[in-house]
Amino acid sequence: MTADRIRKTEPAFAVRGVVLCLLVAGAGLAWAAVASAQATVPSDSTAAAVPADSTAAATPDTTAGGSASLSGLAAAAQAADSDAVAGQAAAVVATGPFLQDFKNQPKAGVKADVRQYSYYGEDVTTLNFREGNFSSTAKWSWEDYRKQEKTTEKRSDKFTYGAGQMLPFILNINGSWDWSNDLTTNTAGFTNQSKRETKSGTVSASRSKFRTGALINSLKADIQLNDQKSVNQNQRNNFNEASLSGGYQAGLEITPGVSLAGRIYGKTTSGDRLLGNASSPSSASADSAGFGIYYDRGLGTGRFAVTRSNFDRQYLDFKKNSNGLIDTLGLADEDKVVQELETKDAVSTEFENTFKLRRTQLKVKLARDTNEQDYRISGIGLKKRQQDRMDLNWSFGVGRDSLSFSYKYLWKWDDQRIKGATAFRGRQYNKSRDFDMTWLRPLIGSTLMTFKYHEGLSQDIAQNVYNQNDKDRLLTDVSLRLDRDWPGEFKTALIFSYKQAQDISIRESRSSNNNIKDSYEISPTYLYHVAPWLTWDQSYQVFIQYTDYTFSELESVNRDDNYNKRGNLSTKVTIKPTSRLDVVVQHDYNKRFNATRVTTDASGRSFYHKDQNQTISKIDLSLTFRVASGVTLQGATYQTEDTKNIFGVRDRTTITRSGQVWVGAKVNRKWGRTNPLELSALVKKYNAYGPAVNETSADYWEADVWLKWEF
Amino acid sequence: MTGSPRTVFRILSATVLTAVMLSGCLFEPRTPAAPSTVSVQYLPKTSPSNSWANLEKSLTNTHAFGWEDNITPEGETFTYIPDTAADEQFPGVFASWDRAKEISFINKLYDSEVTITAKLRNDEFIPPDPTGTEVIWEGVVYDLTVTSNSDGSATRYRARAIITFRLVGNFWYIAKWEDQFGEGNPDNPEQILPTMGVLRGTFGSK
Repeated sequence: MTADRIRKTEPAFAVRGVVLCLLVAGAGLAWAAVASAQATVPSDSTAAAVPADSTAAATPDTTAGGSASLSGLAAAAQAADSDAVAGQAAAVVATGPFLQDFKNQPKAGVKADVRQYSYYGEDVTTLNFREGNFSSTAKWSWEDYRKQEKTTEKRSDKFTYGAGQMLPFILNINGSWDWSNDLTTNTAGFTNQSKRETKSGTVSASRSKFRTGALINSLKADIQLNDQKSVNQNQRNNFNEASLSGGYQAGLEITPGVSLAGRIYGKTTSGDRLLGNASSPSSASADSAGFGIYYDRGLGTGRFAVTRSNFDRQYLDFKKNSNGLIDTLGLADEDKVVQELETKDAVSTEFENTFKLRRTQLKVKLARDTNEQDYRISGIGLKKRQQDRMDLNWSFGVGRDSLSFSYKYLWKWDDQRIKGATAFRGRQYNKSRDFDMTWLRPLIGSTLMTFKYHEGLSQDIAQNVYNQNDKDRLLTDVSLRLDRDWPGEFKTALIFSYKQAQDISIRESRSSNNNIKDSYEISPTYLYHVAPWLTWDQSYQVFIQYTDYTFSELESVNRDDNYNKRGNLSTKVTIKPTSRLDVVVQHDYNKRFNATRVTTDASGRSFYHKDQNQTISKIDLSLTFRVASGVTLQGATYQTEDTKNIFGVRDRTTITRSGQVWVGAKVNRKWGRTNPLELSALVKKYNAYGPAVNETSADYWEADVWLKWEF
Repeated sequence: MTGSPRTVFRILSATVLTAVMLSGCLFEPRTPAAPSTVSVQYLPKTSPSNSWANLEKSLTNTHAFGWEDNITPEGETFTYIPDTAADEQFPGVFASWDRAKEISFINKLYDSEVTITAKLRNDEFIPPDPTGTEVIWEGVVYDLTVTSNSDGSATRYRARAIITFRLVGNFWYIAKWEDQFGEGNPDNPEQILPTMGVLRGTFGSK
């Protein structure tokens, strides 16, 4: 019923595509007569006209019914700009025969690891013409999962064609075909088939930064065809759609160093969709307009940009509840799928200024994004969102010192009027502020001091207390690092770090777990190149964490303050006895204990009961031997002993041991120069034991072997 | 000429450092209400079993700190790998799923007026003893039901997963969550229930 229903592209769809192709080609040729000129608009202004956030604001959700076929407006406009730039970079006048190069690169390989076995093959065909180029990549793979009953087969083909300078505008044609079939059997023995076939084709034409009078213009037009046939959990999800889009951007330098830029973009999509047993026409339309001022004068550079975008689209979707979760339980088949209409309007405003004077830089960024998203059927109803951001960054240097401060502020909210409700539920606010400071100073000798301070507060606030999750988190982080390169081959580092995290739930139903965690870390390390063939690397780390529950003194709160400590001594010795052999020996000695506060005396001293004491000792040995050019033998092993003492009414000691050994070889050889044949092989055999080792990870191969030929 | 900026720099640095170090706090959290008798009893994260149990307590109490505190802390990697069905339903959403996205997901889920019942470990599953610094639980079956308080609709998620725990500092954290496939509905074994990938995809793509 499922896989067999996957059908070929409808003729009507293809006809629509051809008509749209002709339209765009005609439009492109008409613009070809316009003379081009050098651009004077700042190079970053094109990208800046489309704030990154507007992409998110205008991109529709990609859910089961609403596929990703309609891409974000701003993303498409940005793509137009980047393509245009790439096209200009490739503008090299070629001479010689029409077909300059024809190359094939077939490749076949096999991979294995603890998770799955994979077999794969691919063929890359490249044709370079006097003007333009064509490349096609065909791939096939088959995967068999070791830890579950699951196989996946994938096939794909992608081609690209670029017309080079054959036409007075940049023309690119891309096509892709993807096919996959995933069979997964669950523990009850039911097998689910997830099968998908997608075809897509894009014809894009663009002309970038050409002058008409005082204006510097860029144009882009695209035609896109998308076809999908898929089935998952016996539900079909097919669509067949075509879209046409176009964008225009103009810039005007009103005075040296100051430019104005405007941009408009539009996209329309139509086709058919089938979801479950329902089918229906689908459509979407989207447009955006942006305006910006860009300047680079004297001590300051910056921009101010405003972008407005919106879309509306109709598609088949599963019935969803107020949280956007599919809600078809107990419904008749004909009621499970609905004809959805989704609309979204977004406005984004951004100001950025960078002031530079000698070694001082002050950067300011302010932004506001707002959007409204509405569903005709879905229980989500209407959603409103707003986000305000401010980033301040000030850095300067005097003498040998350099200092930087940054302050980030984010204030955002969303509100929802659930379908059928008469009022909004109340805003869910998220407010965060972060302060960072970094101070670098060379001290005596070649010692560098790095001091960092960070403090951040994030707050969640539900207006009208519509949920109980109001909370604050305050993080404070201070670290001091000293690095020194001593004469000879000796390096040292000393790190001191202190962190405090306060987790505070505001409402009485959640505040019993409010706590403050204070963590300390001290870590001295050194690296000593004893001889060209011997390196000694040792580090010692101590972590201490105190957890104090804010309301632990209350009878209703059964939480005990605690104390945890861990020390780790790591020693690593690297030996290179010959130019072919590398030996690395590493030992980690790890000791930790956990304790719970029992009482605090009148002077404020706390007394703890030791709950657990654990010692982990691990030794690693690895060997690498280069047998010949391109051939390497490798091997490694480790052994771990873990001793745990638990103190309570009856003390208990457990000792567990685990280990692993693997041996392998790596080969990389190439034969021939004109039509080279290349072999790459990495094969390892693993054996492991220990309480966390199971059947699939106790004995397995890891491999990646492939053969590639170029002709 | 050089003395003046240096003096300014030193005074400024000393002032900022003193202010910061002495005050200890540039920002002040709000004052919480004293707790009611309802208390979420989290376990110390001294074993993978305790950390996993804490996630269950976090879900049933819709208490975000419990989730945030038991997945790998900031600076460490957290990975989520969805099953094929969820990955295809939300294309692109899981490509860069990390700790920040996991925290964003859980906060959006809890803030959306839901009641959750959860059992994150099937009775048959026997967890391996923790040793070394990483432990993998293969084939643990979790089961949870999310009920919307606003419209009363309920969605059940039951799936088989591979969970990787990592020892960071003194404690065990969930470092990797890989959903294998949706398990059958115990009330109707032919109905394959979705994994938490669908839940993550729904709230993660908002």
